[in-house]
Amino acid sequence: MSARRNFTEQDYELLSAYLDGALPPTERTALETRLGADDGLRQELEALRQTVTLIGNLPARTAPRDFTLTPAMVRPARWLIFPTSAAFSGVAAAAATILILVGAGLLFLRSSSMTSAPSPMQPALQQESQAEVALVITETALPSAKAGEETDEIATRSNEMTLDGLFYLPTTASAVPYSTGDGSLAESEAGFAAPAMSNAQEPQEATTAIPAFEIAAPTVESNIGRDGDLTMQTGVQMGATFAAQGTLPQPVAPPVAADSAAQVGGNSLPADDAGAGAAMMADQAIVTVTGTPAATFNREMQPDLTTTADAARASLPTPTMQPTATASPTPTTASSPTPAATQTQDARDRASDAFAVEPVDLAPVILFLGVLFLAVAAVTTIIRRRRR
Amino acid sequence: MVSNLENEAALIQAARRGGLDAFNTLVLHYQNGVYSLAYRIMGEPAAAADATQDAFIAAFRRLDTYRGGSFKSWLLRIATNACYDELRRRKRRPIAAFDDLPGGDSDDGPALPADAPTPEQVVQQGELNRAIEQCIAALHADQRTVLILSDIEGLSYQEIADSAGVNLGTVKSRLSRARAGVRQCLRAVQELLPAEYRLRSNDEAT
Repeated sequence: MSARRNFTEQDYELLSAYLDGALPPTERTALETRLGADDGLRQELEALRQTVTLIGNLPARTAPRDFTLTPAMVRPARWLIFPTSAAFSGVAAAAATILILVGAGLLFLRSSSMTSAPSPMQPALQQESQAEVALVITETALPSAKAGEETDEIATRSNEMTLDGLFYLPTTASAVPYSTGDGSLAESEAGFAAPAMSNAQEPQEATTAIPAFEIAAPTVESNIGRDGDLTMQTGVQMGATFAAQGTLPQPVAPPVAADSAAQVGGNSLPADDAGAGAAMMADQAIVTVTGTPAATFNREMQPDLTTTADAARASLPTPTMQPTATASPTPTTASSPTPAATQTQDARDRASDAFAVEPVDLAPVILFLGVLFLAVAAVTTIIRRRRR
Repeated sequence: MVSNLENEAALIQAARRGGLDAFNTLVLHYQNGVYSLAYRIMGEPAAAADATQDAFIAAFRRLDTYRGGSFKSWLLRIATNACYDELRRRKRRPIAAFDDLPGGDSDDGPALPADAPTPEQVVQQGELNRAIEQCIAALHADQRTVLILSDIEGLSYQEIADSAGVNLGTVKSRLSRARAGVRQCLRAVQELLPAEYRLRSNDEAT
């Protein structure tokens, strides 16, 4: 036993290699000589051999299942929605460049248009607001009757309207030329007015439908002209209140509000091009009150309010509104069918103003998209390189 | 693993081009060997299965690193790495006990696994195998891997060196220590073994 303890690690390595037949001839011969003379060493060799045999005889483990691969297993991990190919990165980079250039261009246009925009609005606004207030007073009594019923609808719709106004800014612009046409004014108004009818009843709920009201203000004026009392109510109230308070700024579309304010001042008309949605609202309001959707809009109707006439024009551009709502004739208010749609060039001017305004809104969005694409291009490029 | 695939090279080529079916043919051919290796290294079926699956996935993705030679040893190397990864993941430290072999006290066998077989169990062949497996499992991971690749998988020294990423001398050294470690471990329980399995040594003289 003492012999075994004398074995060194090297001895074990020799024995191990000897078992595997891995010893070079000279070492093998030397070891065999030792083995012949050393029983302990020989016994140790046998013990090792037996161990290796036991290990080798261990029952083979069979796979408990097939480990074949499915396409899902080898699909490269995809935490990106888009491919990381060079082509994709290139396209994204190109798109980013274009978007950023366009966005910057729009921003430039906007800044230039801003400076050129007419700014002497305020005095006019005040005048108008007062006039409107008076109108409002008269109106308030009338609209309430109907308004009570439809207040709920109005509130909801007014919200929608404002949204529409925001989103459809470009459309408004396109619609503008439409309304500007002198002869066509009546028609266009009629068409647009019809949808707005339901909304017209909002006046009572000034608080909830604030954004809509602001827009509606201009239209009110036009209404006043024709129907006198009734028409005045809805639009006038809204416009008056907002104008007086200076609350005109619409939460949704800041640029639009600004423009509308500007126009009002210049024309001394409360109703700007503000938002197509706003205009629509106004139209609708008018229609409901008067019971004559198209006719009510005519400027001629408003002999009293000179200022309001302009306002009516302003409301014209609102054509964006689609004929979703059917005009609901209200018997209370006598319809004054005076379809004298003589739109002055003011309306056109305003329309053009609206055009200038729109790019302002889009520019940041386009710029943002451009930066987004740029980031996508960068990320995909980095990932692609890291994989190599 | 017993027989070589005739068209192994062609299958590898096809798999390299993304042919999953070709690769799966290789999987079916080698999965027992890979799983066996994984089982010996990991010591339990579930972990072995996980490591085996990971190994084949990794192998498919790294087919371009196969530069000819023994595909089996290349595969087993990937499987070995997968096992190490799995071990690391499970934070299971392999028991390192034999670094001082064979100079240590011969009477002090390596620490037996906690669930060492009872005498009654060891009498049976199945229990003997279990004892051997436990002795293997008690080895340091580096030694255990070499022992498995050599004495169970039947790889040559060179193939083991390739698989384990070490040189030939290290393979010999580790294998020697591993065998001596298992031998000592088995001797510690030899009284429990049937006579025909007993390891002969001059201990009997004492």
